This record gives sequence, structure tokens and C-alpha cells, in this order.
Amino acid sequence: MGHNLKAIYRNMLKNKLYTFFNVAGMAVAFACSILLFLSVYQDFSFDKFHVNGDKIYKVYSFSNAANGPELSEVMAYPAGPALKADNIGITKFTRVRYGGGKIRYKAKELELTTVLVDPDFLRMFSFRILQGNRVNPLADLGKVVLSANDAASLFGSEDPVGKTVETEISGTWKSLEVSAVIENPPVNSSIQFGALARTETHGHYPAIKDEWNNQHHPVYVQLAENTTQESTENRLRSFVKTHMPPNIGLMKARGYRADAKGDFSGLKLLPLADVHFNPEIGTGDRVNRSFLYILVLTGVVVLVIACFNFINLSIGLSFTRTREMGVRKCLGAGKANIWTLVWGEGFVTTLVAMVIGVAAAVLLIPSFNQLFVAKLETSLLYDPVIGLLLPGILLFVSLFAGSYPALAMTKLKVVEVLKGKIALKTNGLFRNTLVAFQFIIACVLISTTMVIYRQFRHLRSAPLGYTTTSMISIPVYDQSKGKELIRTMRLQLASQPAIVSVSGSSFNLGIGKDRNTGKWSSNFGYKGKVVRTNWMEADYDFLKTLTIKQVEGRDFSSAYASDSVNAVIVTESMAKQLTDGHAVGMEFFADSAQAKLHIVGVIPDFHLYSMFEDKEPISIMLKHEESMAYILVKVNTTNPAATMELVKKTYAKLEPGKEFKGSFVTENIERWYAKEKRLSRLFSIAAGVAIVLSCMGLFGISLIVVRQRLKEIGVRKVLGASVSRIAAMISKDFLKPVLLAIVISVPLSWLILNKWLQDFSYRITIGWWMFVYMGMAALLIALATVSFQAIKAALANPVKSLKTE
Amino acid sequence: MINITNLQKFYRTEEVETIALNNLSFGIKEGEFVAIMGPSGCGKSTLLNILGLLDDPDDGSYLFNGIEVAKFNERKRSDLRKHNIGFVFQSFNLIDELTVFENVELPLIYTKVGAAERKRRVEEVLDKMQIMHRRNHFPQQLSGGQQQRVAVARAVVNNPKLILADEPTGNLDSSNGNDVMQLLTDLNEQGTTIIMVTHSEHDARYTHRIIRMLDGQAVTENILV
Repeated sequence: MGHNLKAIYRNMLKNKLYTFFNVAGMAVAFACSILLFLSVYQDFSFDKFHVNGDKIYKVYSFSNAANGPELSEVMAYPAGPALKADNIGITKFTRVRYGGGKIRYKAKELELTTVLVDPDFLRMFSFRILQGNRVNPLADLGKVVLSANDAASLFGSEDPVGKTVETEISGTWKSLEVSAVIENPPVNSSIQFGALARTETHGHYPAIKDEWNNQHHPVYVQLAENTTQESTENRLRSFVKTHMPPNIGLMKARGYRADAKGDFSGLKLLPLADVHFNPEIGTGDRVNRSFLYILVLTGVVVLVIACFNFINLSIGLSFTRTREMGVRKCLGAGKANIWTLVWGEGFVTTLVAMVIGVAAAVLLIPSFNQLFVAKLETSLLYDPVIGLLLPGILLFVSLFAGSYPALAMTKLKVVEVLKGKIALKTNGLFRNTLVAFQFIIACVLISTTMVIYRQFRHLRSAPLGYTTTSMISIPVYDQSKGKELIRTMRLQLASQPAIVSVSGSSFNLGIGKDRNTGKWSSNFGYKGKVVRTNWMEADYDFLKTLTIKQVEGRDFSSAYASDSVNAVIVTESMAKQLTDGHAVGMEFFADSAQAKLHIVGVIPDFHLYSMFEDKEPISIMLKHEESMAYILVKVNTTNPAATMELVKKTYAKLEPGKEFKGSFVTENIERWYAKEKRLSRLFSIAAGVAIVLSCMGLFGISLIVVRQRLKEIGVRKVLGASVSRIAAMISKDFLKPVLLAIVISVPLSWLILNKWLQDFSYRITIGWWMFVYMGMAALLIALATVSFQAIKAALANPVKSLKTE
Repeated sequence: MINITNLQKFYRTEEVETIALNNLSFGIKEGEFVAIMGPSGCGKSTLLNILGLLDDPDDGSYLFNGIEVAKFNERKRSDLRKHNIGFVFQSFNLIDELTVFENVELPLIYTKVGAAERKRRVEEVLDKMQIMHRRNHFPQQLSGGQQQRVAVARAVVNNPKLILADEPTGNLDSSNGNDVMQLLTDLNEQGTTIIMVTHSEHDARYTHRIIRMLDGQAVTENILV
């Protein structure tokens, strides 16, 4: 063992450059893959720490709209208690609602998130109580539970339990007594909070506690021990009929359909384990599972490239060690001894690379978090699973990369080696296959990066049909007073030169900071045919705010009293469904229960939803009820940050104490494509790493091959070959596998990327020139890598090389 | 100790078959010092490789201490070799990355001798070869003569019954060559059987018997003692 380690150490030292290439390549690969694996591991560990996790579900509602089910996680106040009381297999429930953002103790004020819950919350979820009432800390409405960090920030060394704090809940300060301190919610918890108080402390609670139509918070439930998700979901059907019967007539009119069970809408359960992964009804920063699989695959691919480098370099360099192995065999070394020695060197290389890789990964965690909007923590490295995973990867990589060179060495024929007849059979085909494989991966990644980036840019910059720049959208908390808020804001901002107009809409443009999206579409009969349209409700100045020019007619206007009753603006494709002539002035019934709608304007078709969907007919109604979900503000300024601040201040006066979630619509639209953006970043980095690793491998191999061919180069020079001819001869050999890789990767990339692009209705076409760029990039990179060694060898003095040989 | 009968070895390529050993037969007694001579390509090295169990014959019998070893597999050959045979090469074949001490220690590691015993035996043999003062040096820091003395030390550290020397003085000047031959003679006098391939008539005169080979056959034998 000691003897082997000494031999390994000295051999690595002797071949410093080779060792550097191997260690550096492996370390880069380890750093990348460790970051990717940690990130994936963290995502898969979400909410797993709850002891009752497998019995906890999030309740969500579904409505079977014409174009697919609409899902919503928000419930009304009475839903939670009724779910438990109705004896449908639910033993515990908690409503989870944002309460406020501030807390005070004496002169100290702290910003934190207060979440309003029910007493079962701490019995369902495994957030450990560190001090105070461990049995039922939220037994009465006057109590608050603080997380350890916030308790320490607020109280310092003072004991917080029993102290009274001022907590801002729904805009008003309430005195609550700290009943317990609990551990901070870990990063891998979907539910995050700084303080917990009772749901009933919300200012609006008394007024709407029995209203089933006012929905604003998710509800989590815990099922009884002997109950399954399926049986509870079956019982939820009767629960819905009892408490929240759908207006089937209205739903039918709006194009909703019954599912296989005959339900137009209802309630279902989302397992807690899926909450982190469900993009529509999940909680917190959700992530798509398929994205995580792509991350794992990328990590593995990077490791495989590094392993191929190792194998190629080891085999290439082994010709210098065949005599040593021959002597060792001659002196009694068995196959196992030789295998252990050669593999041991691979193991030590891998171990050193892993130590460097882990250190690099730790240093890169902040950049990684920033780049991929992740929340990785160094402490994750101490997790027992990761503690096992790292040695596992070490062993796997050292076996994968080190076994082949070790096996090749054990097969050496002593007699021939000692005669100096053979180096290890450096099979060019094997070496070139590995190089070609590396470059196939690199080429596919280069073209993937190009296509994803261009598609992302294409989506982001695609003309939606309205001006997205300089527009702010603000989610309204108290939607029932939405129109009043819009009116007040319009009035207060009227004198501001930076503000162009203020309007409102029933759902957001893009994905705002509240992350809510909405869609409403319906089919209705008109003159014997079925008309299909998407709906949106808006406020005055809607077209002005979105900078949409009408083709015909006008914008909504308070100057026309009738507008507030039945005005509708339709897009051209909607108008075409109604008439071939002028649509303005036409009237139609979209819903027999509602007033006849009067078309006041026709506008060009535009994208109301993301570019994943086609342009569809749209009808925009002027909302005649007082509720409205979003305020839209069009600004005209060179200083958007200052204007946003102005809008924020104005909003703060309208909904005091509420978190301002206003954002520019351009940001909202980017959020539609957040997944593509992350993918684009990921693949550009992966492509970069793959290229760097492949080039390191190619450089190392060229170094070895040139050393092996020094005599041949010397002889050729003596016989009159020019420097350029020799350099070309050596480079040509290396470019062959790269060329082969390009040829293979073109159809491969096209197949993969074409399939990926099929998910987009608005997509780029893959041009042949992309593959030309890809091929040229790969060739140039490879040529630059090997030509250095080739030219150096061609310039060397032949006398010296022949003498050396 | 060694009895070979009708030993044959062929080298085949796709088109040509070359006979390296052609029905070769002879015997070597324990304690003998034998030189094998002949022109290049006559089969000397092939014979030495077969005698050293580094290669196997295509036909014929090879009795080592009365045991038929011609058909031994790789593992058995390796086992027999490491306990019974020491090698001295023309080009020394010391491992550059190991010190003098470690090079000599290597055969003892492969025969699983304990660390303390290894140290004692290596120091003893280095002392005997008068190379103890160079124990921590690397091969490239030694002269050719010193390197060959280390190689001899490595060959004898396991107390082998047989030493096979392939032109041991081929890379040495005459003075160093004589020193090495004296070392081998001393070892032989202490009871080790030695078979040496050489081109040098001078070196051959140190031995008891010369087997002269031509085209894979033993053509003459000269008894010197």
C-alpha cells in the first residue's frame, strides 16, 4: 500500500502536465456535477422532513374549461373548518395565508413574513418547537409563534416567550404574546415564514368568514391513518355539492365540460410531496421535475467527458510505463498488483480532483444561486445522503475511468515489453472514438445552446400585439374594491408627467410577482353557429394603456354611460366570427344570464397569453362590477425605477400595510419563459464546460502523440518535409474524429431540437447555417488546440529528436 | 535442476514462421554457472525467457527441479518465478521512480515478506553489494556499474535458486563489467545456479560451461571447469 502510494505520487509528479490535465479536467467536471447534483438533491428533498408528509395534502379546485382544466389553490375561509368537520377522512386542517410583513418589540422593528394558520399547523408539519408552549402554542388568537432567527433578531439575549409584540396583520398592528419559538423553516420547505399567528386575526376575517365565494388562501389537510387520497377525493364530490355547488348553467354557457365522473368542477388533493413540483398549484419556488432530470443528465455527461479524457490520457501516456510494468511482472507482480497500482493512480487523481472540485463547488455556490435562482447552502454537503453520494461518485468515476487503462496494463506481454518492442497498443480507433464521442456531446450542446437562446430571444421579443415596455401591473389584495383603487390611483397620478394612463384587468399580463395567471374562454351560439372567444375584463383607458390602436370604433370611455353596462371590445378574429362587415355597433348574447353585449371597438388580434399558445379571438368587457384584480399603469419616462417608486408610494396609500407586488410587464413576460431562460443558461454553461474539457483532453492527447511520433517527425524533416506539411499531417489526424463528430451531431441535434421546438406554437426554424456555425466552432476550437503541439513538434530540431530516440 | 528436452518455439506472422528454438535439449545442474553464446537471432534470449518462465514453449519439455513447467499457466509461472528465479538485464531495468532501496525491496513485496524482514534483507544485500551508501538515491543518480549492482542485488534479495542474466555487462565499461562478473561468480560460489546469455568471450570465461547456439539449436558445449 505504502509502496504503491509512493510510486503513484512520484509518477504523478514526474508527469506534471499530464497530471494537471487530468486533475483539472476532473475537478471542473466534479465542481459542475456536484453543484448540479446538490441542486437536484435539494429540490427532491423539498418537504420530505415532515413526519406526517405522506398524509398531508393541499386542497385545490378544478374547473373543466373548454381548453383544459383550470386549477386553483385558493379556498374560502369556511372551506378549511368544513373539510375537517364533515367527516370525510380529514383529521387536521390548516389555512395558510399571508398576514403581514412587520413585527415590533419595544423600539425594534423587523421585517418578516407573518403567516396566518390554524392550530393544527404545528401538529401537521414537523417544525420543531424550541421553547415555550410545546403542546398548542396557537391555542388562542392572542398568540404568535416566532422562528428562531427572527426571535433572536428581535429579542437578542432576552427570553421571547411570554413577551408581547406588535405584529402587523392585514395592515393593522396587533398585540400578540409570543407563545413559542420554533426552528427556522429549512430552505427545502415550501412553506416559509418568520412568524405564525391565527387565521382569525386577519382584519377581513369576521366579515367574510362564512363566505364561500371569497377565496384567497391555500388549505392543507391531513388524512386519517386508514384513508387514501382516492377515497377522500370521492367524498370531496359530495362536499362540493353541499358547500360550493357550481353554477352548471353558467359554466356550460362559458364552454366548461363535465369530466368522466360528470363533474364540471370540484376539489382534489395534491400530495405534499408534489407541492414543490406543481407549476400551477404548488407552493413557493416551484420547479419542473423534467428540468431536474435534465440537470442530472448534464452532470453525468460532464463527468463522462472527463472520464474519457482520463482514459485517453492514461492510455496515451502508458507507453512510457510499459517497461516498468514489465519489470514488475518479471519480479513477481501478479495482475492484481498491476491493476491496483494503475487503478490506484486513477483513484488518487480522482480523489485529488474531487477535493478540489468540492472546494470549487463550495466557492461557486453563490454564483450558482444567482445564475439559476437557486438557494443552495454549503450545509447540504454534510447531509448523510450527500456524504454517501460523493464517495459513491468517486468510486464510480475512478472505476469507470481507471479500469480500462489498468486492465490494458495487466495484459502486457512481459517478453515483448522487456525487448522494448511494444508500447501499450495505442489503438487509434479507440482513442478517436472517445474523442469523437466527446465532440458529439460538445457539438450537440453548442447547437442546443444556439437554438434555445434564439428561441428564448424569439419568445421574449415576439410582438404580442401591444406595447409591453413602460407598463406596470400591480396585483390588488382586496379585489372587491379593485375599481375603486384604480379610480383613486388614476386621480392621484393624474398630475404626474411620467404617468400616461391607469387601467385595470381581470388577470395579469405575463406572470407577476403574485405568480397568478388566469384564463377564461367560452363558446356560445350566434346565428346558428358556435362562436369561441377568450374573455378578459378591463377598465377604462385599457387600449390607451396597452397602446393598442383600434381598427374600428373606440376605447372604453366614461363619456358613454352605456359602456359601464354592456360595452365590449373584440379582436379582428372575434369580429370575423360574428360578421364579415363592420362589427362596431353589433350586439350579441354571450350568456343568456347576462346583458346583451355591445361592440364599441375592434382591435387587431394580439397575444393575451404566452407565445406557447396561438393567437385566439379575444373579447374584452368593461367590468361593470366593482371588483378588479390588477391595476395597469402606463408610464412614459427615462427613469423607470423612480416611476416605480412613485407608483409604489401611491399604492401604499391605497392598500396600507400590503406588500407591493407591482412589476413591469416586460418582467412578467420574461417570467413566462423563465424555464427557457434557465435552460439557455444551463446549456451555455454545459456547452462551455464540455468544450473546455474536450479541448483539455485533445491537448493532452496531442502532447502524448507528438512525443510518440518525435522520431517519425525527425525522419520526415531530414527527408525534406516542410514545417507546415508536418503540422498539417499531425493536425489532420486529430481533425478526423472531430469531423466525424460534426457529421453525427448535425442530424442528432436537429432531431432533438426539432422535437423540443414542437412544444412552441411560435418558434424559430432551425437554419442550416446554425450547423455550419456549430461545425466551424468545433473545428476551429479543435484545430487551435492541437495545432500548438503540432507546430511545436514540426519546428523542433530533428537531430535532437533522432538522438533522443 | 533444469532439464529441457526437444524444446521448440516458433514466431509466426501472417506470412512467415520463424523457428526460434529447434528441438533444443540440455540440462543444468544445481550450482552450475553456464554461459549461453551465439550470434544475434540464434534464440539465446528466447531460451532465457522460457527458462525464466516469462514465455512458454510451443513444444517440448521443461523440467524445473523435477517439475514439468512447460504447460504452466500464467499464475503458476508467476508464482514459481517470484520464489525461485532472479533476473539481471543488460539495460538494468531499474524502476526510475523508485529509490535503490525500494527497487531492491520490490521482489520481497511481491512475495509478501513483512516490512521489518524486508528492511533487514534489503540492507544486508545492499551492504553485500557495497551500494548501501546509495540506498536513498534514484537510479538516474547512479553510474552504470552501480545501477547493475543494484539490479544484481534485486535479483538475489529473494535468495533465488536460479539467476538468469541477459548480457549483464553489455552496457558497462570493462572495469564495471569485471566487477559485476565477480559479483555473479561470488554468488555462484555461494550456491546459486546462474545462466548467463553473453556475446563476450571474456565474460564467458567466468562460467563453468558454455553452450553455443545457432539457429535455435545447441551446436557445441565447452566445459571450462
